[in-house]
Amino acid sequence: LLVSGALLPAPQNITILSTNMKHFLVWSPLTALGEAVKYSVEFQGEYERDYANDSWIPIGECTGISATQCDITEDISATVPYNLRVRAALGTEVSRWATLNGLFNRVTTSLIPPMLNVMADGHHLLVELEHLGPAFEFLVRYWRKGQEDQVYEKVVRDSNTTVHLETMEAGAEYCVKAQTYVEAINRSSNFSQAQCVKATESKA
Amino acid sequence: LKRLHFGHCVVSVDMYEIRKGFGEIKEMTQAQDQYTSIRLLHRSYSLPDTKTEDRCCFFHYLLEFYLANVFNQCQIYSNFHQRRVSRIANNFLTVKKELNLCDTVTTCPCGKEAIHRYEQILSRFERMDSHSAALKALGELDILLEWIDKTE
Repeated sequence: LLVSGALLPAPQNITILSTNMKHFLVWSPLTALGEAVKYSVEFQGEYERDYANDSWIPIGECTGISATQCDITEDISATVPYNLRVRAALGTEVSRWATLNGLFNRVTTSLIPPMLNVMADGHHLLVELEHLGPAFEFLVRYWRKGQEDQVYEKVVRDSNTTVHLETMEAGAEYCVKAQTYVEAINRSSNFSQAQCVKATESKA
Repeated sequence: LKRLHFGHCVVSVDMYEIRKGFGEIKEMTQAQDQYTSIRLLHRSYSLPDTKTEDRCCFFHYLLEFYLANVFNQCQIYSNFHQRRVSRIANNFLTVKKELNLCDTVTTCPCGKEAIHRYEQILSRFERMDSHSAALKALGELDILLEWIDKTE
């Protein structure tokens, strides 16, 4: 999109990238001659449409920015459909608002299987879980290798700490996998790959 | 999520999101309240003390009161304030939409008690100019959140 004295075009290719409840609005840059183009982003929740005369709210951190992306996570703060729009400015000239095609609801975020670190501390089966923020819980499943019919589960709400799962039998191998759950949108990720560790042999 | 049970109807309130939004504007909102002698959400007609059969309707009134009379008065505040109010308002709207799905006749009947309690709030609200009243009601959100917390 080359801009040369013509009316400043509105940004295009406006898209939402949403993974693990982190939401970003991205758009294509306007290639301008001379001064850098600045962009501004606004949002509108269902409340603003239904009760507040279709009003829009600027996102302070994304007002007059050069980047062509904006972290809208903090403002997408309810499980309702949101409208989003961007416009460009070059000096005193301002483009039309370009609105996201369709509404965005955080219920559609992509939930990725969590990263985990499984450890054997002597006979203790431990797991460290990726910290994804307060909206996330984890369902951890673990079993003794060879006894796949006996799977144990543990729900972990605080992923800041190492979780003790089991006291293992000497020399036995145990496997662990986990999925995330986000209560606010009532959805889970797929399970991660299983990780297996072996308990130390008992001293003869 | 806090789950409120009204008969066989269950409504989820995202207390985390609401408290996060309110926590960031509570002090500045309450500091601007000029009518400190008036209290809208009075202990004498609190939600948890409302008779079980009237609680759903009273709660519905409270939600609609905030959605229709309070949050939309906050458009004139700073961007910082607006964004926090939007977080609270859109989460209130989510609750109200869930409540609307309840079978109102059986689970959300509106008896005299619920209507009387709501009228108490409205009459106090209307003694003030709408802007000051909305500011006071916003500042009293922690009372409402406490009511919701205490409601079984």
